[in-house]
Amino acid sequence: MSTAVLRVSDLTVSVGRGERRFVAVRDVGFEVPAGGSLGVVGESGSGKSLTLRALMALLPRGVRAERGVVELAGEPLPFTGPAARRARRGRLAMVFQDPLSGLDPVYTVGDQLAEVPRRVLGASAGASRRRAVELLRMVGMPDPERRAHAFPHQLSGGMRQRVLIAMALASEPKVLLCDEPTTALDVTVQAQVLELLDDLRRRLGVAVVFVSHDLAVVRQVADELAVMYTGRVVETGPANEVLSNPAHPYTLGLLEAVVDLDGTAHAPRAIPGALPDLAHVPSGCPFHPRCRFASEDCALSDPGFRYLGDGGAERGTACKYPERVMAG
Amino acid sequence: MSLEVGPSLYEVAATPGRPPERDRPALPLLVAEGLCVSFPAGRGQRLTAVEDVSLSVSAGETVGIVGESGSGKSTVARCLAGLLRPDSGTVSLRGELLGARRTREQHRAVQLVFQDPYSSLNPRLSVRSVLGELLVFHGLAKGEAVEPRCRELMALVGLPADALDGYPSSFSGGQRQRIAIARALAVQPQVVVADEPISSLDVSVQAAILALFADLRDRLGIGMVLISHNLAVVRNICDRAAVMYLGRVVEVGEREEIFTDPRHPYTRALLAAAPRLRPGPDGVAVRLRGEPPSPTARPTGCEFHPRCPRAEPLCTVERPELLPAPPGSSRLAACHFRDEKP
Amino acid sequence: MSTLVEPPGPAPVGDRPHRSRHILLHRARRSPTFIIGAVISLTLVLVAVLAPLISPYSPDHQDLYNILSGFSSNHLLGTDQLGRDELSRLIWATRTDLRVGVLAVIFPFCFGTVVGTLAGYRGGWLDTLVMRAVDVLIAFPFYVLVIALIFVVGTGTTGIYVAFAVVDWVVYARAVRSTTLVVRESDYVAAARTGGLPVSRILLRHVLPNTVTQAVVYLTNDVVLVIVAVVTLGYLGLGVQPPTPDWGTMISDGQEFLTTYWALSTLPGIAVLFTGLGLSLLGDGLADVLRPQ
Repeated sequence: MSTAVLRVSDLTVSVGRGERRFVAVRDVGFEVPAGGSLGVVGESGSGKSLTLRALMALLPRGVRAERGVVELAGEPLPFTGPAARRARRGRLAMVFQDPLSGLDPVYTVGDQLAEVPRRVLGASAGASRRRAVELLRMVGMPDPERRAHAFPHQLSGGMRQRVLIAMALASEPKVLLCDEPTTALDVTVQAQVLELLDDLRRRLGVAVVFVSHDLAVVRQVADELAVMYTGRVVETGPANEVLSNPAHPYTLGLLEAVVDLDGTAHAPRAIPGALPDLAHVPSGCPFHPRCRFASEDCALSDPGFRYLGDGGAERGTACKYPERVMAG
Repeated sequence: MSLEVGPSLYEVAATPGRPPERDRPALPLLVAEGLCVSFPAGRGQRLTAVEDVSLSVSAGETVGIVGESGSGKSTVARCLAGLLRPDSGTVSLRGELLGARRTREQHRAVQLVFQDPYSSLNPRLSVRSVLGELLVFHGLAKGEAVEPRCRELMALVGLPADALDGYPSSFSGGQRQRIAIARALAVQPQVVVADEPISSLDVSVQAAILALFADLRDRLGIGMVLISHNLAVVRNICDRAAVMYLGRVVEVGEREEIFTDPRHPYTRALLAAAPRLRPGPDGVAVRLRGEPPSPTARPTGCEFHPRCPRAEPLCTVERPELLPAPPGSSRLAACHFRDEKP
Repeated sequence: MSTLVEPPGPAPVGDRPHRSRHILLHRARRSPTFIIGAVISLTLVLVAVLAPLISPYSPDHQDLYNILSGFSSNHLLGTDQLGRDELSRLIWATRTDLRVGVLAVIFPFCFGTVVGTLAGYRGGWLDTLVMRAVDVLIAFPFYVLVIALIFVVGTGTTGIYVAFAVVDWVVYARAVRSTTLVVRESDYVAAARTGGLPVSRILLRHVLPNTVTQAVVYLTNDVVLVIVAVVTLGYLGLGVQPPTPDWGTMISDGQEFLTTYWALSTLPGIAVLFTGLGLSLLGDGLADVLRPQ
């Protein structure tokens, strides 16, 4: 797809050294069209957060991107070194989960916001301040001129999250990576922030990659969905199609397990078994021990990832027998 | 360790969906009336966490308390469990008033399950020690009888007997929560108060723990108070629900009433804001403005009025009482416009 | 009717690593600080315990025909101004100083831990009282207080024990109190309270095991401080009294010979250094090993 503003392929991230090394993200690939939105869903250990951090070249010590290609508007981005940061400035930005730790407590919100136009875009001090207020207004902060002088701890959780979004947008990126930005927020505030993200996406044409463990939340924001399990992408496709007719047993399991507000036709059902230790992922298809559609050969060979080509939107799955899942 | 996966092992327990209609016993087990709790907030101010909250739970009934941060729901939970003494108001068990200091038996009657499975178990005690200590102390088992009783408890919460040897750090979140539930059940309580018991767990595990709660409630006939910010969970398992905002109950009633015919604008907003899996009838998306105010600076009149889409000048002066809506029903709402349908 | 049974599968990623007795040993083995510290400390303890067996001479044995001799095959580390064998005196001084050091911290450790726990858990007037006492004692320079007390009680080991008992407990109390404040708010303590358990039991089984590690780690460092203090007092003539061998008195005695027979003062000094190093490393290593994971 030539219109993809962000294309990731074969991204593999490993953690640890020597004997204790294990692969946390394996062969992850997806595409995001310009102005589009991709939701990445997974539970703990799925590798979704690490994937985002690898994209941002923000991997912690001891964690390495072994291989992979990340292309932004066709241009490949390096993973390490000062070139990595330079290449991402003004193109890729991240909104973090915890607004309290994402903001420096000793500077006012306005100062922190103004830093980006000043240092990244080379604007003057006055212009930067004006831009900071403008950004606050753009993210729906009430009374932005006054709020710009507030310190992070003086703001509520929802407001802080808006500031984080503003900071990410300050560098005028093409792609916004969001790592569970609403998990720590109250339901009503979450709804506001999700609406804001959607609105900004439409207005500014910025693509959004939204990581979450909550399927229902992701549905609000994402056009496309990628489901991750033990570091791999197990399913991709348009959000409403994936949610209504999943092509991978894990996605189906998640859907069945979710306690949904609208009352469900069936009782919520936990996925049997437990998430495997990433250092000891089952052979073959990593989900097979918990899968009710599995056959013998599911344990023997890696199912890989393939696209269900039947015209129309692209659905991808890492299941050998998606027809079993889609039928029942 | 290979996982023996047989489909029969993972049958969901009876009914996390729709609990069958049960004869409600006339006498409630645990009744809280007029609870008021405030905390010193520095500079001589007081922070009112809970204001005039009343609640009742009967045997075999699950009551949900829904609210966001600052609603005071956790504070209510702690009052019910005897961890916190309210400034005023009473908590009674089977009609008997529970004083500031509860007796051993009174403590047994109301147990708490906490939100964070990673900090609610003593990291230095094995599961057997934790359970055994409670059993022996309350005289529920002695000497030889302790071990079989511990095993029973493990079976009750769906854990294998050898989990007794383990220390909390060797268990996953879901397993720890089961252990915490076993600890609560060890003393044979009459009411279990669960404060956000599944919100820290992975999605695939939440349903299992929820099913466990439902199963235990049905089997053991205990009363349950479930506190959650997640409406879906409350709708799934509770018979009645109370919605709290800024320390007060703003609406309370039977589950289906609350969810299909909410009479308080806050309840409606919560329902509208809750993310859903299936695209619902979006209709009028009631979006709340702003955020919950600081509990030290409470608005006048109806405390919800600054954010309420239905607010009128009356709301800034006169606080609405919690009254039946529609009149004569068991459902109560604290809104001047409670008789209006959504 | 069947409840969801969860098989004891491997813990998911993001969980805490397995922490039983084995992990402590495992971590101990992999911490170089701990190992070195343990080796040194163990060596010292062995020297102290086996002193009667390994010491070539009695520490009091005076050979007045052989005073101030240098290193020789008869006297590996020479003799002092009274002809006493330096090596033997060093060995026996290890025994003395280690013994006094360890005994002197026992009361402060126990008392400080108990008081800190009670103050932290109960709060209120008890906490205020304890903390003010701590503030007062800490405000005084350590040695000034200790020396003052020794003048009151008398020199010798009794004086040392009393002085430290009065002065040294405060650090334990403070450390334990702050950990107790944190543990007090934890959910598992709340669970113990709802379980109806009495305060004494909660403190003993739930609070203390989680707070005492702090105190234990501090203990190893405190032993070093106490030993140094004992040595200092000995040097000043206020500590262990002759003829009992003690590094402090040895240093003091050898002072006048510093330019000619430097070994007399230097060797005990090195011994103190060695001891301090070993115990400090042990303490650091312990902190590493016992760190909650």
